[in-house]
Amino acid sequence: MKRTLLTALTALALNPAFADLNWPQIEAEARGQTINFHAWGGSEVINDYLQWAADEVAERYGVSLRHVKVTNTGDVVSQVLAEKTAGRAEGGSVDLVWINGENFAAMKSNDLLFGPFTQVLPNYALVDTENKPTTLFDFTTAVDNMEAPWGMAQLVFMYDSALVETPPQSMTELLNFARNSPGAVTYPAPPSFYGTTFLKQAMLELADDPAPFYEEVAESDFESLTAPLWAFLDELHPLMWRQGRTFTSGAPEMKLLLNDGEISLSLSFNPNDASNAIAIGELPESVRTYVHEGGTIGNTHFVAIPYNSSQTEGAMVVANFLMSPEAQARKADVDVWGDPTVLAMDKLTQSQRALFEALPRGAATLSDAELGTVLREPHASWVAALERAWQERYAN
Amino acid sequence: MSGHWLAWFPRLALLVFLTPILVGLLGTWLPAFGWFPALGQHQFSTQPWLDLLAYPGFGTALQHSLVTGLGASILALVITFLILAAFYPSRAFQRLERLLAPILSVPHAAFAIGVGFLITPSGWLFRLSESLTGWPARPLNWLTYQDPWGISLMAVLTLKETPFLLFMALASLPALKVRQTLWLGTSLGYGRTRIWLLLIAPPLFKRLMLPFFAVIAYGLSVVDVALLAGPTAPPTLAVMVNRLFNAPDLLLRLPGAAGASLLLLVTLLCLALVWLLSRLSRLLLPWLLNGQRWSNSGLLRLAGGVSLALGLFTYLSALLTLVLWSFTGQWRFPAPWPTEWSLLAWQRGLGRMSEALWLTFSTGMVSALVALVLVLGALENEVRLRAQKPGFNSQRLLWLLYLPLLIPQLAFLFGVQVSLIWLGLDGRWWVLVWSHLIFVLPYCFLTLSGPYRAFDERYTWLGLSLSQSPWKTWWRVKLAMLWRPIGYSLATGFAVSVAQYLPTLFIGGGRFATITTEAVSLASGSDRRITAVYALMQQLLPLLVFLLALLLPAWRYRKHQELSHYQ
Repeated sequence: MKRTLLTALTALALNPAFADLNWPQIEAEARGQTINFHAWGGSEVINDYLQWAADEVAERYGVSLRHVKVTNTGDVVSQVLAEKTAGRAEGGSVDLVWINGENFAAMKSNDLLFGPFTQVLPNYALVDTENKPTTLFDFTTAVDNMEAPWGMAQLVFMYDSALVETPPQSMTELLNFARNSPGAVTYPAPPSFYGTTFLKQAMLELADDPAPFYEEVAESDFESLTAPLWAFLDELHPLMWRQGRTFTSGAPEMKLLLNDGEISLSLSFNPNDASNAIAIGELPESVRTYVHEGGTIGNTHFVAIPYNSSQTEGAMVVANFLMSPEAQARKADVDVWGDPTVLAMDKLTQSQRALFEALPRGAATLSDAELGTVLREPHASWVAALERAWQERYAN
Repeated sequence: MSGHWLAWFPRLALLVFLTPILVGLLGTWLPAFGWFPALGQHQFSTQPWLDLLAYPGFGTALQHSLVTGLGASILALVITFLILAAFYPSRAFQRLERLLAPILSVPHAAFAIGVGFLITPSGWLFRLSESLTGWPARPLNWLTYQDPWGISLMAVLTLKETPFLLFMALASLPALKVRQTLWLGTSLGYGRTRIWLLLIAPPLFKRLMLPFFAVIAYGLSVVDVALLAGPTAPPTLAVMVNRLFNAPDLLLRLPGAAGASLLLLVTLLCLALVWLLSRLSRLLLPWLLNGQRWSNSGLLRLAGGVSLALGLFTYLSALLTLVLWSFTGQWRFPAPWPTEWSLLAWQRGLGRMSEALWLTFSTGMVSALVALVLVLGALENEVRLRAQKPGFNSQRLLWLLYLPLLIPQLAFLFGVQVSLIWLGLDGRWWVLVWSHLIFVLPYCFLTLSGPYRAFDERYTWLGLSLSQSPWKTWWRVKLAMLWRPIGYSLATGFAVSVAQYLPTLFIGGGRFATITTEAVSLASGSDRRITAVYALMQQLLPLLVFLLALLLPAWRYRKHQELSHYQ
């Protein structure tokens, strides 16, 4: 506790902008600002949710929120980088960005972020940092209050119960499953982060000891540590959809293939994805969610403010609103979006907790117990190493 | 005489449009050679090029680009000649001409999505087959789309480029006097194939050279279509470069910039090669002039007919699948039609797209109108110069105008983006219009220059002698007779602007949401229904403008049938 306080105090002292600002002042400054929020625009339910959030912050705080729909967070990083190249230190075009993992690590290490700021946000105190360590370490990169937790993610799989009786419970079982029904399994091609996550999951599951994966990747033992993974993929690929000669671009495309009946298993980072997809007619009622026995990789997604935004007050007000119990509860509703909350239930008031307790449970949603152990992401350096090694083997 | 005010049109056009490209190229070459201050890279080196060459899959990606880009362009050219040789001129062709406008306005990405849904193993064709014959009960594990050889990408590109080449050919054919040539050839006993090959194809190809070059450059560097229909592991070079530009590891932008520059180099080499081959083809002439008549043209008609039927079938079914999906609630394999219908996608889509629609429309209209004014000015200047110097070659200068079509967008947009931000000009609407203009202008020029140059100046002299006013003559005689090609040129320019994806993205820093950027962003999701709505709207806008371009001249000429014959 003492340490957290100290970090927060140091952060405040280091950042002169906050030295003489308190939250009501920030809210006052924010009034009238227009926030360009760059976030993936490929999902209508998410677009609808952000439209709702925009209406709310306009009414409550007089902040106008614009959802800039992007296909790829890399585009946003490129934009900020281009602005830095051109020496635009203020008035940047991005005020808030939906981000995590390597993109965060890249922006943080290249000084492209504003902050630390989350310690100033009142709702940050409600975040479950104790039981959700990924809110503090994003793919093992220390968050250091440079991005505000927005939602929880865990790798889950989906299957069509009309076609599959029992889904595989591990990567080894997945291989058997593929042997029995060739062509019914696939995964997205890295560097799509869905594909890379699949690799990391397989790597963690197939290794005798996952400890080395939480250290920075080293050239000396990369081959030996990843050997089980490549042996597994070498066997799996010929049994996959299109014999592993072509791949999907990500989980959304796999969802389409699942609905088309081309494949019988799919994956997602949102445990409520299947329920939501059933609710809006993207998937049939027979689809169910499952996880592997040994647990699956989980992480947190965040919002961050680029270093050259001139509307930081408004951006902070929006980030704070997105973390509010009301906004988080609405987001967790499977009929709206179904994105799990970052908040700690025991830090909420009775009425705030009631918002979450009233949520309907989706047809294909697993209970917390069923979701099982959450595996931590390997060290961020494994991402690039795995992607490159995968490309050298299978996309050369 | 260089002080004449008309002389400023081509200069203005060139200056305004070449500056951003040159600046953009420079801004891409610097990082390609290791200079990227924002990332702490201040040392010039060839390391980015070495990194690019060592990047996994680079060789195959380059090969994919060459095979699909060049292959599709050549196929499209061959099919264009086949169709023309088999059927031009004929009554059926006039009907086909009217179909070309809507076909040209189909955005590339929307077409790729439609074709994908048609021919994948769980697609519409197999669904229809299952409901008719019971086969296949489950989707087959066949590589009919996104195959690792690039066949499906090549097919989509060929189908998309053929109508464009046909359209451009139709603009040039009246000047070649095809009917008379055919009549003469036939009277000497030659068959259609022979007459076309010897007498019409060579001059036609000369006129089609620039559009053909644009097709090659496009095919080599296209990103959106290659993402949807191309190989995935590895993808084409353009997709790989685009990915490097957006990689989380920021330093990969250096080999990315090298890749973008390489794409330019490869494009230029291919164009040079094609030009060289077209020169060498003259050597074949003695071999062709052997007196054989080839009087049978049945095979030609068959090949032309099959290509035409296949193309039309694909366009219509791709369009139909989009329409069906936009009204779908749920539609799973093997149902031949949606099992649940719904208006939800349209309600959601239309409720939200008004702003994007307006931005798309206003940007398209303004850039097309500005381009039209500049093109008319430049063409009229040509007329003036030709009157002064009879040997004047207008082509040379105007090659520069086509530069934007011959240079891969990826090769200079990154540099443009940085320079605009540096000048504080990013995110302004007029800059967006300007950036679209770079691509709209050459297309306006391509579509209008043929008919405009073919205009019989004796009408102008007659007008001048009657009215004594150059303005009045130009406006009331020349323009009045050219309304139809002018309308077409405007509509083409508008359609080109609507389709711009990368420039809109790069210039606006994401602040400009057009129907196209929204559609591409939705295509990365998993809802085919809403994607279909946006793809259809993206198609509808240019279609409406094309319709106007057709109907307005028809109305204008309702009392002057003779004028309307003048194309």
